Amino acid sequence: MSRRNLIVLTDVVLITCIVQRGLADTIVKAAREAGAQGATVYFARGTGVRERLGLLGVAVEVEKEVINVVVASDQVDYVFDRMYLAGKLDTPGMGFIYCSNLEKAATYISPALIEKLQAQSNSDSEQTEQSSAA
Amino acid sequence: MKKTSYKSITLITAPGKGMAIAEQLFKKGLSMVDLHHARGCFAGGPTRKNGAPIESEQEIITCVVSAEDSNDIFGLVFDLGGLNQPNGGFMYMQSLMTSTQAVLPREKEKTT
Repeated sequence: MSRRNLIVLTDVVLITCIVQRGLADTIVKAAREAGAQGATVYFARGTGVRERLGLLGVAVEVEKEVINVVVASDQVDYVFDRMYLAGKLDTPGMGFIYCSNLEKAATYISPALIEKLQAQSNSDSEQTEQSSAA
Repeated sequence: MKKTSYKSITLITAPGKGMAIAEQLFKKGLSMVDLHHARGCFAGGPTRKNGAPIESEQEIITCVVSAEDSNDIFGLVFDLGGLNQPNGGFMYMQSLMTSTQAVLPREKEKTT
């Protein structure tokens, strides 16, 4: 049996973006360029504003793409803005985007990265102790 | 309706693993489990010439659990998904404002 090694990430936010079908790739590209580590996209069918826009509601695609991106809470504003602009979400009927807080997240983190982070936090705490002693 | 706090646990994993995990969760007594497919990309993954990521199929399992059991089930889903291995996937947990609690008929009979 493999050794259990559960490292939990906190301070993470889920950005959900709902757009017309075919627009997700542009938004995912923008999110990745802004620093997002990954994204998942799935299809959905949406209604609401479609009936009120354009002639017979043909201006807005009924098929939607839903994009989920998990980012660190300090990155969320920047990634959110980039996704908003890439999707042209200021145009009526293009879609919408929202953020929700995540309690915790987990994934595989390589031992080398864990050691590096531990060394960094140890040096930070030493520096703090030295400065407080001085 | 009984007011209890609930949490949702979402696991994004490789295709083919989802149904087995969902069945294991059912066996553990979880009745609110959803499985669907998506396409996804990750950091360091392949990209096209225009910089857009090349996405692959993923399975997404979402389950709703009561807040008191959430940490245990989070650990269980972590183990079932094999997230302590590279390319095991990604999972997260979030609080829900409210939720219904579905109880399967067979479970209902056991409780009464």
